[in-house]
Amino acid sequence: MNTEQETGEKPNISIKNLDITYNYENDSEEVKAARDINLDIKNGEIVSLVGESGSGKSTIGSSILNLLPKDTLTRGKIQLDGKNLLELPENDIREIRGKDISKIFQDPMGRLNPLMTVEQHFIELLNEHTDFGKEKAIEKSIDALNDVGIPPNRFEDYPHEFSGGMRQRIMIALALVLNPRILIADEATTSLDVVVQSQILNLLRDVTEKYNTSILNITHNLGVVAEISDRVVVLYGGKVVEKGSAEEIFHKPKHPYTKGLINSVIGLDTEELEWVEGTPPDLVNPPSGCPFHPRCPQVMEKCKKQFPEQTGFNDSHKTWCHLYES
Amino acid sequence: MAEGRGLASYILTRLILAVPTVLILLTIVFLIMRVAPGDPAQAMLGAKAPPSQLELLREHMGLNKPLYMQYIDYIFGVVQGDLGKSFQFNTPMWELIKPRLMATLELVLYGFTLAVGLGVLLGKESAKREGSWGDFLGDLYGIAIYAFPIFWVGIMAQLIFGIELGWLPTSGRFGAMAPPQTITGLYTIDSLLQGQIDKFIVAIKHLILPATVLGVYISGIFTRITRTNMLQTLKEDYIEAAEARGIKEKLVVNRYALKNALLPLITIMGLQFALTLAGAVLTEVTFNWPGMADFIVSMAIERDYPAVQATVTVFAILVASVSVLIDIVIGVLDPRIRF
Amino acid sequence: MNEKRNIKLWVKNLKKYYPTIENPLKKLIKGQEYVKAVDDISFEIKKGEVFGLVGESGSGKTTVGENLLMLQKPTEGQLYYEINEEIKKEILEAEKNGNKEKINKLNKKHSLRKRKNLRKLRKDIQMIFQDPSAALNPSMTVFESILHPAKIHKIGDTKEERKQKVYNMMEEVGLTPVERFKDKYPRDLSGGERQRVIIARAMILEPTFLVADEPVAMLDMSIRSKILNLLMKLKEEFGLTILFITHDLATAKLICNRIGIMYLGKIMELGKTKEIFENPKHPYTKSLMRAIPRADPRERERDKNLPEGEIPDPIDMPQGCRYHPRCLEATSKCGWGPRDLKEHIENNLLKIYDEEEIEEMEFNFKEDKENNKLEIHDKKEICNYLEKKKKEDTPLMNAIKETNKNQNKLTIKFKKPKEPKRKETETRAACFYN
Repeated sequence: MNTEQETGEKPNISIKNLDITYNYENDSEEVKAARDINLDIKNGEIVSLVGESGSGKSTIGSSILNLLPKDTLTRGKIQLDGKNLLELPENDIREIRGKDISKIFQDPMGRLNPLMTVEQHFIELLNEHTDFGKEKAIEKSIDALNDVGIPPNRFEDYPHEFSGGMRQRIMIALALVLNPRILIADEATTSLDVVVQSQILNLLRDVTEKYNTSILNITHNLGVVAEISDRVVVLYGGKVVEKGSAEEIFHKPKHPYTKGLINSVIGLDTEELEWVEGTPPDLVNPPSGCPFHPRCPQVMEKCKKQFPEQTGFNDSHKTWCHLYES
Repeated sequence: MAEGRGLASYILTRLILAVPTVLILLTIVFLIMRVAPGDPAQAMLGAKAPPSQLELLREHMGLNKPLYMQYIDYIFGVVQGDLGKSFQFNTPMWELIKPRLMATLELVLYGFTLAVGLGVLLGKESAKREGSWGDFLGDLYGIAIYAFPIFWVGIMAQLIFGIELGWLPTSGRFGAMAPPQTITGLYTIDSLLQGQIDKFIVAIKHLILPATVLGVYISGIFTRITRTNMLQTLKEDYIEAAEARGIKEKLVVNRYALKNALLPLITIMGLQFALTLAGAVLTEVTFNWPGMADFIVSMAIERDYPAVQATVTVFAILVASVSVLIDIVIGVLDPRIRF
Repeated sequence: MNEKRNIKLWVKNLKKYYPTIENPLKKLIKGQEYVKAVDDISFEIKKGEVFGLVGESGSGKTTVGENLLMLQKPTEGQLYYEINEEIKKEILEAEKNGNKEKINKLNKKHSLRKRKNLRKLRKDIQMIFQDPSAALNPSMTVFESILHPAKIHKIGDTKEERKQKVYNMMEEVGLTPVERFKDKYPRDLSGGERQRVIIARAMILEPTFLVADEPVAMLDMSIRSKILNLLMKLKEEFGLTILFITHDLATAKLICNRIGIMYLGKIMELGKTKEIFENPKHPYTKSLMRAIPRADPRERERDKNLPEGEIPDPIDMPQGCRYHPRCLEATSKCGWGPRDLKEHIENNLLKIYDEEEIEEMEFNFKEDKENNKLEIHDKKEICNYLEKKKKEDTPLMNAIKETNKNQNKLTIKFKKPKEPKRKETETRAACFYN
């Protein structure tokens, strides 16, 4: 799309040793939302962060754009073009938001300003990040809307005149119009009905391919993960417990949590109800050692004491579990 | 395309709907004035008036006609801009009321503008700094201002700025000088229209104290409402989404949060306008302002029923018009309520 | 309990219309408009079964549940509770003969719409909601929350007996050890635990009929199955009949004996779960099944064949079969009309005009619902496009009855629409082709 963009290999974003703590000024309520996260996203790749409530998946997504609440401590590195996003001054990170990295959210209904037309949203965004004239801005916007299936005569309509799925399409067009490197999709299809969800997933796959954008897909829905991801990162209690290609995670899961999670999905071919016993971890006082140990069916004594080292099965497939340590 | 049509039809319906509203208000005014116990003629002339004079007065005021005829006369009169004649001065009511109404409107206009400006500014800044000392002070201001009686604040302002410091006049609307020729009846506007800067300055000087007292007094409620609405709006999902698109914070606060938070504020402004009129009455007494307050009190003492009725009618129409205006403004600002 | 009363609930011609909130003047001119949230649906739930009502948001499934408990008053229709075939036959016969007196008498005896009947059954019919946090009083402990309804309905004779019943129920739903949970507040519980409290609170009244509205939708994936399993266990133990309302076809498949699939206020297909999944009849059912995401990347490239668009706004319901604009198997009979053509033109604007003409890409039209026609004011590009397109063999184009061109106006008239009905005895699906 964007002809100015260089055609060569884009550098990846890489997250290194990321720790995120909420309420860090208040010791007794410190929430250790993410601990020692490492993650690379390659060019044009779709990576899913999957986890349940309290896994830290949304927190990691927000930290990339520096959109966390004030009283939050972040340590580690999020690198894009040799810059550490966590250390950028507000003005510099703002230039990256919406241009190099953009984000779409769960509930599309409330994500557009009800007092602004679709056109105004686009013009505002393009004014902020480019020096296109009005004509070029409109042309770009209409192209982006066309890519997501919104007819051009709806350009001057207000958000309330669109359905939920159409609003998510508009959000996607807004997110992609500047040809970003990475699109963060935080539960972007969760509140949509299955048919529309499926439509949006197809759209995301096609459009990001066209725009050559990577996706960081954050979701709890394993069906969505399987439909769209190249690679999957499984989170539990703020820790990465397993990562690998979609094929590896779904067909050769290693970590007991990954296995439990996949087994508890209710699909059309499910014959028996299965689940993971126990309750999600308390992040103010996270369990010692491996955070999954209180719920793990194969728990051992050392699981309670220390977090396991990484075990690699091949270049892509890794897990953190004492069962596999040699 | 469909956009403009929706707005036009919305404004049209609002205007059409205003007709029954005003009619109902007028009916209430009529009922209170006429059907209330007691004979207006008797009240005006005193208990010992001879029956022949009473009869004459009744005939003069149209009180001998059947009630429904009186009602029709009244409504048709108002529709044609005829508010009846004053019993005391025997001049058309509108001529008596107009200059006083304009005096009150001038006071209210400046007071109200100041109140909204101050309220929105303080409320917005307060909300931006939620939980800080500045926010606390803004909040305190909103409450404290309400706790002082308005006439006490007025007297204090007179003592300090008028008498102690001698900066500003403490009473009246224009002092001894001849006021500007009437075009709108608002001295500040009229003097400017005629290029009389000196007169404008005199008018403004007289306005500052009463308008500020009135404005500050009502700004408390606007501060609180703006703050609450801003805080709520700042937590909306579209604010976060705008931030994620890299829109500047200033734009997000003003274009997204403030504009959206102003919608409920404008609705409140319509209601508040009627209260401001009431507040203006108190301020007028304190500052000896030749407005409606002074007029309605003296007419009531003189038992000039037609005059009282005309004044109430004018107030009713004024409040109804403001509420229609507010609805239209909201219609223009908020695309969701058009059809 | 009467053993012969094998129909737990018969929902008969239930309608729930909500008036739209409109400007009073518009109402005067156009008349009050309604959102038909539930539009004449009928089904029965047999004693001891789990009946699933499946639909997307806006299908009306939740409204049906609320109407059963009279949390909302139905606009029309009846709900007969605990009847049998004979009573059903009696009602139908009385209706056929127009015997109002008899119908009234039967309603008085069996209909949930009669306050007296409902009051008697308040304990017997219980509901479980989607959001467990919203349904619990934050200032009540687990023990108090479960005890509260028992106290109101005077379950158990003494305080001690009631207390014991609460403890038993806590054990029943897995809030164990009881000592650890009984004094906790909702904020100290996980989503799954809260839902258990709600289930215990409902079950302590010993109901025989449970309405469960998306009971696991807000819970974490890894514990959904456990709550569902609990519900099934309770069903067996207490002989419950369950109305299970869900958007998730896969869950319905797993736990329901029979299901009804709703779309825009209508039941599109109804039948035994097994039959529906083995041999879906309605195109909507088929699409839903294809759309469900599979937790298996190997199935990613399967033929999904998704319907276009989304559920339309129920204020402006499509005519004919309400699913036809999205239906992949629709023919010219299904109820095509001006709005479909309008949408078709809108979606093809970029094809109709050249790229450079983006600025003037609009078209003036007038939709005449009553006469089922669309008037387009002269835009030669659009007219030319339609001339060409008309010859194509698509359902929309085939549904056009006549076109008229005079001067600057193109009028396109459609055939009169008909809505397919689902006849309970003959066909499962409300579709012309079954």
